[in-house]
Amino acid sequence: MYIPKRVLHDLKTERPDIAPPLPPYMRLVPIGFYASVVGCIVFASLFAVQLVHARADLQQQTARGAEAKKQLDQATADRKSLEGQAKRASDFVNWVEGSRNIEPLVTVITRSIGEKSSLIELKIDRNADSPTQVKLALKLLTTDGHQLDRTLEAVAKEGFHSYSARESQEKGAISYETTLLWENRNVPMPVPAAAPAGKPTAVGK
Amino acid sequence: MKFGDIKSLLDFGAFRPEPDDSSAPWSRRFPHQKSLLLNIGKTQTTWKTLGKGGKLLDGGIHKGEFKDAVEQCAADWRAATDDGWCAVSMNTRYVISLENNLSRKPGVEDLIRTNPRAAIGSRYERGKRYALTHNPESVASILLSCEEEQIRRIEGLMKEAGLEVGRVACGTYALLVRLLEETNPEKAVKVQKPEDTGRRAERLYLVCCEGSVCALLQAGDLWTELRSRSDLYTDGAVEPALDLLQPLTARLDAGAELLVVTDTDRSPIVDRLREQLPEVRIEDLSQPQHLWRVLAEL
Repeated sequence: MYIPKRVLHDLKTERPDIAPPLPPYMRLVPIGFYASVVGCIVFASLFAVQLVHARADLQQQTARGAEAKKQLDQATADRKSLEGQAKRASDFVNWVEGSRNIEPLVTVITRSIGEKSSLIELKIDRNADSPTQVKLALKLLTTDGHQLDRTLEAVAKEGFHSYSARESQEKGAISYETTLLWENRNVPMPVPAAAPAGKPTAVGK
Repeated sequence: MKFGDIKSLLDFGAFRPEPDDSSAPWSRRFPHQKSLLLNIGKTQTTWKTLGKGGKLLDGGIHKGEFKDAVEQCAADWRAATDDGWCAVSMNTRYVISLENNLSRKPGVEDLIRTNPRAAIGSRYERGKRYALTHNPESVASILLSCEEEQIRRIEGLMKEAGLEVGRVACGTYALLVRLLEETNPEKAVKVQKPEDTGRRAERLYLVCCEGSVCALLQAGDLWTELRSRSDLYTDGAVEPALDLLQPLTARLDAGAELLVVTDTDRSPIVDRLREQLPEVRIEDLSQPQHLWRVLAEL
């Protein structure tokens, strides 16, 4: 005879709303919940650690960026300095080269001075803004009434045209100021060096 | 959905039966909680704390009526449990009888708890509660009937004391059913013919619990006679129990076996039966704290 084991009998007053236990497969719900919580904690921890590392990296990168920017600024400043020096050198070269063309003019003027005359003062000024114009100021002490004309002819032969001339005499000295224009259009007049405005390019006495 | 439902889902409580779910074993209802086992007799009440994992812990005894025991021991009982849940074994005002031709519909043994009239038909009496165990090899059934008033009185007293009753069982009936289950674990290989069962028997089941006695005579796989009486004997006076058993033991064959289970480790009834029935193989299947283990297991 086989009498299966059964749950012990119960005689108590039954409660009508007793609910049966949930089926085992429903355990997936709380297990999934706890797994999600654990996963959230793990991932949040990982993200927090990564955030700390990222902030440290960002700070490091910012410092490196600032350092690089500082180096770049330094390099830019050095470059500007070098460029400034190069430009000054170039300008100086240009000025030297530009002033070299004035030398024939000075030579011509000097050679045009006769025996009865003497050149007291010669001032040649060329502005960088208008390199084709040369301001000429000279002061002659002469008894020769044609000395100034010879000098101006010699200048004209060199290709300069006088413009806005002004002449005055005082105590036997002739002061002459004019603006010379470069007439040879085919040959550009060299650009003078960046000399300070009003500063004479060549002065002779 | 209430907050409590969500809480029980998250702590896996929703996957365990409710504390007062009669269809679930006691061990499954309180796997991680302490509960109290009470054994109520006519003259005394004994108790045992059931710890976590089904471990039996401290216990006690109170001489006197159950009402007095509740008044004096309720605080200790509450302290001995986590949520105040108790399983009660009552051993008074019950009747165990052998019935024939009761309904064998599937689930009738559970139906009798909620609708006894539908389960046992004309044998139903108002004001009583029943439990039923069928003999699978015959039309016989063991029927337990208890006074509903007695059960309600116990429930009321426990509730007033702040304790919850998760189960009310009859200790004698519980021991008898568990004895039958454990000694009949396999399919029958021999079926006794009905005409052979009139006089002689091969096996007598005897259950003694808290002064109550229940004896069931079995011939082959058939239950032929059952005698039960509550509040019949004390440890110092077992003669009434022996007198009750005498008509049954007289029908035992030579070489028959008498299977005994008692709620105590060593009952004087067993010793007296050994003296009286030397030709009968008497096997005492009682284990230490047998009743508590039966109450705690299933």
